[in-house]
Formats: sequence, structure tokens, C-alpha cells
Amino acid sequence: MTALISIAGLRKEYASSTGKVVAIDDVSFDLGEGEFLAVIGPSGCGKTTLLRILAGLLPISSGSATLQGQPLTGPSAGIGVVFQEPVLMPWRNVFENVILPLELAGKLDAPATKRTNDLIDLVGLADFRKRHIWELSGGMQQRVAIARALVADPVLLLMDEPFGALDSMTREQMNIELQRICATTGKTTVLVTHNLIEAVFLADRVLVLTPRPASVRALVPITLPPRTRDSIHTPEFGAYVRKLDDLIKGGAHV
Amino acid sequence: MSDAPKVLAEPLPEDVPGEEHSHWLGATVVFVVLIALWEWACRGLGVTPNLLPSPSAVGMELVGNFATLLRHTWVTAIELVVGFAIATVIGIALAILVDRSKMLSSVIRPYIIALQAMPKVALAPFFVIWFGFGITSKVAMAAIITFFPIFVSAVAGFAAMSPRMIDLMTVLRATPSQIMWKAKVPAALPYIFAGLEIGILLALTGAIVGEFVSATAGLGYLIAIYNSQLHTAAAFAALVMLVLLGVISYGMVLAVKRRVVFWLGKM
Repeated sequence: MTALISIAGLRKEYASSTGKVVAIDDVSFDLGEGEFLAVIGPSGCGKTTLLRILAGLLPISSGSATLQGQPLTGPSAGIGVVFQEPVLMPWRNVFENVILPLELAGKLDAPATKRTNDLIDLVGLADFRKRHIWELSGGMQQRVAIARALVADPVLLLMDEPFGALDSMTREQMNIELQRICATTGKTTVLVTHNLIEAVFLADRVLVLTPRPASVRALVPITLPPRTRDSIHTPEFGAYVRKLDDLIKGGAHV
Repeated sequence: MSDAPKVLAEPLPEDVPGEEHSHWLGATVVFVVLIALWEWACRGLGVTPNLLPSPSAVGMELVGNFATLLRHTWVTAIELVVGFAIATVIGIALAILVDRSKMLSSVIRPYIIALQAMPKVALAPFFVIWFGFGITSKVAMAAIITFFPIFVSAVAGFAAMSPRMIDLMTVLRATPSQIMWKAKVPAALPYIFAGLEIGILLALTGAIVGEFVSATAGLGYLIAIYNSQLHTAAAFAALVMLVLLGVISYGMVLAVKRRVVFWLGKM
């Protein structure tokens, strides 16, 4: 399997008033086609910075980051992003929000309309196409954002704690939905999260980062069979969560 | 930023129409009592009609002189609408240019500040010299006094665009003009309308000031003429028309705002 994404020796520095700040120090990993990677680490460790680099919103200081062999130098048409907040336009209805990426690319044609409707169906909002954004719950708004990220058929889906603002019931439901969506579309996905259950539930592999400056503490493959609502309560699942928790706390436990 | 009154406790549904009803009833009662007191003061206390005409005298003027009043109201309304429209177009266009170009912004900023610091009504006599006694000088006055709140609120609206929305548009590889027209302008509309609400009332002030300085028609002209003739009841009638013009034009801006910025207060 050739790598879709290849990150090698990635380093990110900021200039600040007190001098140079290193946000990411030496992160390397490869990501294969169709793989689901969860990125976890302590608060403020640089998870979001790493995701913003992949999204093309931040330049790297040194090292290399390639998508399909091409260096990542800025936003790419091949990448869809879901942010922490839905970032929807309240003057547009659900359909108009989802079609936005195709509209900006100048592709407002019949296939675009069909694809937009298909994705609205996929995220379970078929009855809400013409609804205003403020008529939707937080979870539904984030579904709109997921459909919008997928509408231009990207090769890579990036998600930055997309369910962090939702209550735990809705979050669990969204995890099941996301698992179904990723299985249906087969998209390669990178999910930044601080929720270990979410990471074990969804990911094929989990990238554990150290406290700032971020470097790779471990890359843990999750070798569980496809997970269901019930697998959360199995001992194997619990063992993975425990292992990731230990890795994040960096051996501080006795 | 919602126009809806803040409701602290959920009222029972059947309370709402009653609440609204008593609100209007109260306002009407206050109006009637004030007019009655005014009428009584003029008749009972024998106030000179030239000093303060009675409401009935003003009412007679409104009815008897209606054709003339309407003709002059029309002139002022034209000045108001044209001046407001010019200020809106130039204000928003300039705000877009300032947002697009940092250099242009730094070049014109000192001029904008200097012009804003100056009381615009002081320009009225110059406008008469430059644009004549006719409607043009009043339109210019209305436009320049209205320009600033619209320009300033549009600039503030563009600057207030959420960084997350910028991130989204950047990730979607939107062009600068797509970012402007599909994200910044719609997102700034609540701000722009706040400027338009202030602007429409200032436009009326501008038109009237222009008419005071030198004019041949308009409500400001009429008030000045009637005052000089000590025909106070007629001047008051013109004032009533002026209030109506102001309330109607302001109401129209609010109505347009509710249609255009339909999401306001919903998110």
C-alpha cells in the first residue's frame, strides 16, 4: 500500500514576542489509502497545529509533508476539513451550505446538485434540505459541515475535534454516524480528538503526541474487529483506552 | 442585536396579544391626554397662537393646506432618498476597497478621520455655492452626512468576520472576490443595516439643514418661511409632515432589514 499522506521530520516554529516557540518537533507518519487515523495528546500539545498544517492553513518550518507525492504548500482541492465549530452560513439553507465548495469551484451543474443531495442523504438530513441553519441542533449542524467537507469528493478528510461541543449522548451517536459515513465513502480520515473512547471507536491507528513541543510518543494500531455500540463495554476496548491514557500521561502513573 | 424585546420569563401564549394590546392602548391614551392638555393650555391659559398654536389650529392647517404640504414633503423625500442612496453605494463601495487594499486604507484614513471630525452641516453654505439653490445641494448635504455611519459600520462589519469563516474559505480555495461577496458582505449585513438605520435619519437632517440655508422648496424651506411670517400653526403642520416622513422612511429601512437579514438574532 503506497502512502497517501507522508509526513517526515515535520517541525513547526512560531516567532513570538519572547522568541522562538516550537509547536511541533519531529513528527513523522505515513497514512494509507482508506485509513482512519486518530490524533490524541495532552491539551495544547499541537494537535490542532498539525491538522492546520495538513489543511494547508499553516506552512511547515522544516521537514516534509506530501499528499499523493506532492508537497503540501497550501490548501488542496483533495482535502476536506471539518472544524471544531460547524462554521455554517446562516444566510444559506442546508442545501446551499453543503454545495458551497462546488459553487466556489465554479461547478454548479446537475451532477453537483445530485452529489449535494446524495451527501445530505448520507449524513441523515434528507428531510432538512431547505431548513435554515438555526433550526438545526448542534449535532445536525456538524452533520451539515461533514457533508460540505465531503461534497467535492476529497481524497482526505480532516476533522478537528468536530464533536467537542456536543453533549455525550449526541457525541456517541455522531461517532456511530461518522463510522458509517467513513465506511460508506471509504475516505482516508485524520481525526483530532481528546476523547479516547472516540479514538478507539473510530480509528485504525492512533497517533499519540507528547506535550508541547509535539513529537510522536506512539503510533498504536487498533486491532479490534469493526466496532459497534456494544464493543465499548468489552474488556479489549477498555484495555486500549487504558493504554492510550497511560501513553498520554507519559508514564506518570505507577 | 435582535429587535425583539428581551423576554425574561416565558409568557403564557394567551398573554402575548393582551400585552401588545395594552402597550398600544397606553401609547394612544398618553397621546390623547397630551393633545388634550396642550389644547387646554392654549385655550384656557390664553397662550398667543404665534408662540404655540393649539393642536386644533395645527390640524386645520394640515387639512386646509394639505396640497402645498404634500408637494413640499415630496421634494424633501426625493432629497432624502437620493442622498441616502448615493451615501449607501459610495459608503459600502469604499468600505470594500478599504478592506481589499491595506495601502488604500492607510492613504484615505486620515482624510476620512478629518472629514468625520468636522461638523458636516458647516458644509451646507458651500454646497449652495457649488451645487446651486436647487435640489442638488440638499442631496449632497444628505449624502455626505449619511456617508460616515454607513462607511464606518461596513468597515467594522468586514473586520468582524469570524477567523473560522476565513479558514473555511481559505481551505475551499476561494478567490478574494469570492471571499468578499459570498462571505464578508453577507456576514457584514447586520452591521451595514445598523449604519443604514442611523443613516436614514441623518439623511433627513441633512436635507432639512440644506433647505434651511437656501432653498425654493421642501419642508425645511416651508418651516423657515412660515416662521418668518410668524405663521406658527402652518410651520407646526410642516413639522408634523416632517415627523411622518422620518417615521415612514425609518420604518421602511427596518422592514427591508428584516427581509434581507432574516437570520438576525436567530443564531
